[in-house]
Amino acid sequence: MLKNKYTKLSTMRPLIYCIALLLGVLGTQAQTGSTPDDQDLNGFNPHRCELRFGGSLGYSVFRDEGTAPISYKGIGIQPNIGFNYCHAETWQVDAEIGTFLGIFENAVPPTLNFSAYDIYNQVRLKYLHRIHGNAWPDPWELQCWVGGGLHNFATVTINSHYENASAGVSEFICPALTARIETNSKIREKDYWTFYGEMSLFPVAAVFRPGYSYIDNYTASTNVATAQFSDYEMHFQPLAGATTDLGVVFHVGPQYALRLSYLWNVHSSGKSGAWKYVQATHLLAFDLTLRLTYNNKR
Amino acid sequence: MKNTSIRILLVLLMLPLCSCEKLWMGNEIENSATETFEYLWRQVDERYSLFDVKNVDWQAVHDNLAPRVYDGMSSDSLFAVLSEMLNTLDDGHVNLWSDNDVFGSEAIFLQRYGNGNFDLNTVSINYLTPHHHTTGGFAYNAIADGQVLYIRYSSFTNSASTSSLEYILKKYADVKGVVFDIRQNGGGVIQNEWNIMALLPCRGQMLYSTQLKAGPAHNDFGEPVAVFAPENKDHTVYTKPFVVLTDRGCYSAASSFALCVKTYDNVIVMGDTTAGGLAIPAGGALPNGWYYRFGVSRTLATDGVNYENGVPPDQVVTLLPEALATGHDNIIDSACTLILNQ
Repeated sequence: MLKNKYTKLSTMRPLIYCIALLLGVLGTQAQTGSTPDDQDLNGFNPHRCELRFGGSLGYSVFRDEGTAPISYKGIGIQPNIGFNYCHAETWQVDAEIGTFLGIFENAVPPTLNFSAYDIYNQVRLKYLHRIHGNAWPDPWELQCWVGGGLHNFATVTINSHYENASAGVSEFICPALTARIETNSKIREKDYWTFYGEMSLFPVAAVFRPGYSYIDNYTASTNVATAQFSDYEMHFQPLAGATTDLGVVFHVGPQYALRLSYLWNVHSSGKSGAWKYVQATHLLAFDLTLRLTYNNKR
Repeated sequence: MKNTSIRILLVLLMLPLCSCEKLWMGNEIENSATETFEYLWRQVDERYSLFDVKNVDWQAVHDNLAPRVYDGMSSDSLFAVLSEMLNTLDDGHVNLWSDNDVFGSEAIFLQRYGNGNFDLNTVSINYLTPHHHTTGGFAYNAIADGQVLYIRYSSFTNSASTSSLEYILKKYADVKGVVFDIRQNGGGVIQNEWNIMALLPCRGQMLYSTQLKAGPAHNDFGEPVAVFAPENKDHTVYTKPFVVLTDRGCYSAASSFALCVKTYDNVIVMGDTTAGGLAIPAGGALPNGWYYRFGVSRTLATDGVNYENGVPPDQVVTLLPEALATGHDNIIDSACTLILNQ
């Protein structure tokens, strides 16, 4: 029975990845399918496609009450890759995948200092529509975007010290509401800066907890991990989390950009007891943006 | 300049949102004596897998001990109460670790050291002798005028590779059988069971079935998983008589080994009932940072019985003081007689 439920879990995540890929391909198609007619008389190319590659370093705290009732604090790294397509600076789609790897320590003093580990994967898809922005010829811009998308957060926490490594699994699949403010300085010059802030809230999330803690049933003679509580439960949790991204982008010519940002995300499964999982992460991120196409007036 | 300030201000307005983190993170369970006591009691109540064979009224244990727990009590006092609670389970896989102490079952301790069926000096001097050999975790010597191979395996934490045992059995290929002594073996790495059984003649038989606790009620278990004898691949199977000696000092993997080898046609388990410990222990943390472990599975033998409290031998033989007085281990001698008479 459990296996079938896992199958459900494993089919949902690829679906989200496929949607991300599809959006990416659509964006690329929009670019590659462009004709000279797409260019306005001034040579303005309305298509801007970007690839982002980056890494983050930061601090995180989690509490997976299925494996331990206490919080673990630690540090980790998170490589990211993202794709953005922006059309005529009026709407944009963005897809990003990041995987966090962290080492944690029991946070209760006086401590028996035991390590724990956490791996989570985030996939974020969003559509943003510009609701305010002063016109392109201005020497600076203030743009406001709103939109939303889909957010997938899947995590495995491992308390390896406890006999029979206990692992808690949690997955959040949520629609996200997103607001973004950005300001660009001196956009008519070759190099310019962007300051931005973006926040997403998850008004409701489908939270999956496929078992509270995993036991390696070695008496079964093979290393079969079995959910100790084999309930593949799903729970709708209102306001299950949020993410914030505050940063500065330095545009190096029209094709490249460097981004330094502060990322924060928090997730809570809601409920109580062994079902409860919460995690908050603060990251300092550095990204390199490669523009496949760009607005040649910028 | 004014515009720049306004723009930066707008972005910074989002910062306070991050301070709402507490809203999502919530509060931990309070690090207090009463919460720690209740948490551990509840964990055992919902996750421990052996209430049916331990015959413990867990609610009564709670009601008896809870009045002795109060916030502000010393950690040593709390440890004593929690230990007393866990001790009612008489389970060697139940432990509690604090910063300064470790709890283990008193009953299992007494079984091992009070009711042992084993005398190390007699075995070492008169059976292994100073001339014995050691390969991996096995100490061995030919006894009974070279007609029986005696192998002492004292702990399943010691290395027990199939190739090591195969080497020993080939080296003594002419003996009429093996006495495999696991008395006072407190368990260890279960894989070593499979390494040893890989040399016994598999006929595809089921060894046991295992179930994990799967819910909060005492009888909530998952689907049973049947476990079968390992196939003999690339090894020479040992078909001669193989007598396994057990006592009340055999625990965990040693008990499991005794349970498994009883299903082999050429194996006889001799001695005393083991101390049990067939469940998988799993651990966790308490709100005060201490940690614990207890059994979360049950193992059912092929006859459907849960021998958690001890696997009985095929032949009961008790170590006699009068035999010891003459330098003899009458259990080993009985095993030799059994082999030589076949």
